[in-house]
Amino acid sequence: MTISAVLAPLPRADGSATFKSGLTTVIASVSGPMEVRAREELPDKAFIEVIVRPACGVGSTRERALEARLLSAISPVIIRSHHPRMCIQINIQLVEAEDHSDTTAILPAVINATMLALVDAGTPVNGILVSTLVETEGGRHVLAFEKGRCVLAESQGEFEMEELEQAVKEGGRRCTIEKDEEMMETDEQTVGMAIREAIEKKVKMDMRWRE
Amino acid sequence: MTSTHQLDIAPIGLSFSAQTFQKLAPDSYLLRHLQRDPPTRPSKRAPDEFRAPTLHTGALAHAQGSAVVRVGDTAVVCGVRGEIHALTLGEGRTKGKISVTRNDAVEDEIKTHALLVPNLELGTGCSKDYHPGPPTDFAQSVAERLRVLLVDTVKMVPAETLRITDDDGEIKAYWVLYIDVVCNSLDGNIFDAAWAAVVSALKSTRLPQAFWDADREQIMCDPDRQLYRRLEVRELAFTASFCIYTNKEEEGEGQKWLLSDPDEFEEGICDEKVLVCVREGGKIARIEKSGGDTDVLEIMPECIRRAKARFDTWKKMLDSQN
Repeated sequence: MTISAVLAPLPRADGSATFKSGLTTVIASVSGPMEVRAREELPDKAFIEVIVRPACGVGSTRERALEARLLSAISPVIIRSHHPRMCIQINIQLVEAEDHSDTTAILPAVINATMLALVDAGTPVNGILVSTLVETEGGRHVLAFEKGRCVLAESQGEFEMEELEQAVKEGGRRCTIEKDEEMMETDEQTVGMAIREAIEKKVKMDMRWRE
Repeated sequence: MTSTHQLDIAPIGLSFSAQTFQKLAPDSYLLRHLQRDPPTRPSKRAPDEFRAPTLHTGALAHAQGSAVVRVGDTAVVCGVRGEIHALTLGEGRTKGKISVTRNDAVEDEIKTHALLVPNLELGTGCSKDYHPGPPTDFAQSVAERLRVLLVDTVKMVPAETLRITDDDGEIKAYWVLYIDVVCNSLDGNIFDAAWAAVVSALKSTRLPQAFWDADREQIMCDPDRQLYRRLEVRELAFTASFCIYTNKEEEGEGQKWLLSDPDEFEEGICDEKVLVCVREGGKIARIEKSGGDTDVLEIMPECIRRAKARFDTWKKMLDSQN
């Protein structure tokens, strides 16, 4: 499965990213911190608004559910107290997918694209959240890792605890953004490495003036 | 403070009632409760204590199946209505037929023909956050989660029980079940209550005897209630929801409490939420853990243990109804 990530494909957004994983492509953009609507203003932290647009047609309950899942995944990562009484808006455009009704397969790409867009926008974050879909014998598990620990899970199927443990182990291997010796030897492209490379490339571009 | 008597009660600085404390600093209010020995939640429950549910099936006379579920102050009503989805259209020369190609091993008609249609509605004034108008994002996302669990994950209703065939076994129509959940009162954890209501309502559903009338070329139903047949339900599954509260104060920072069956006050404070759906036989059908900093592997064994115990409670309750 080919994974590719590009930072800042949209020049006019505060931050944006494209994430491709296999047949799934997602564009995310982040605007903010900016002015918040009066009824959504929070006195001690930033309000986060998530909008998901489907590849075709107008959004339905499926997109609303995806928005809720993305918000619950991403809001603990953002240091919201840095921008009280502000709004951070996250826009997701689904571009292509193998099966548009299969949100379990789309969710990891959405989380990764959003995380990269947040990095591009310079939003203060606690760490980098990297997500992947792990399929085991009896279930499908969307897992997300931050600092080497699995902090988000969404599994469905028919399985027991041991199977989840295996999935977490496999997911942890794919999602690590730390380079280690063992990883360098294999040619396998992991989602963690793709994200690391995309960020490294962006930082290099931004620092070019120094040379 | 006008009388000296009151000054005696509150000699030092500022003093206020527990309710004011709750309004001013909800986070600390919950923390002080949990720091007591033994830890007690504001609702007087222990952290691992669920609210006692009540369940009543067959309450709606004009629905094919129904259930009323109450968990603490969260109350939902679920009604199941069966309608016939005929595969023949039009009359005379314009007559057409939707052809169905199916693979018996996959049984995906429930998905392709949308034979199960769950929906959730928040009743007027069910909670203090209720706004009149079109369904809120919250209601829509809960409805979608119910649909995913019912249609994609648990697959409780087998497609064959919804088929209406002629004498030769050819499919002429399907039963479509509209499963409407209305929340009358919302005090947190709507998903567990709504899901239990859906399961119980489906379990109590009785559909009329439907047959293909070859002369009239349409589906006829037998009005005799004695001949109504029970909807086949393949397996049961029940959900259990949790909140994780993390101490954010300097003293004892990072200490966590896993709260079963959170009420609205607790849901508003805790960022991390967990849902576990357990199948009959103890296998897990679904796990949802929202982001936060709690390790999934650390918290999950305890969640699963509590969810299994909760499954038994629901199962016993449902069995006593039928």
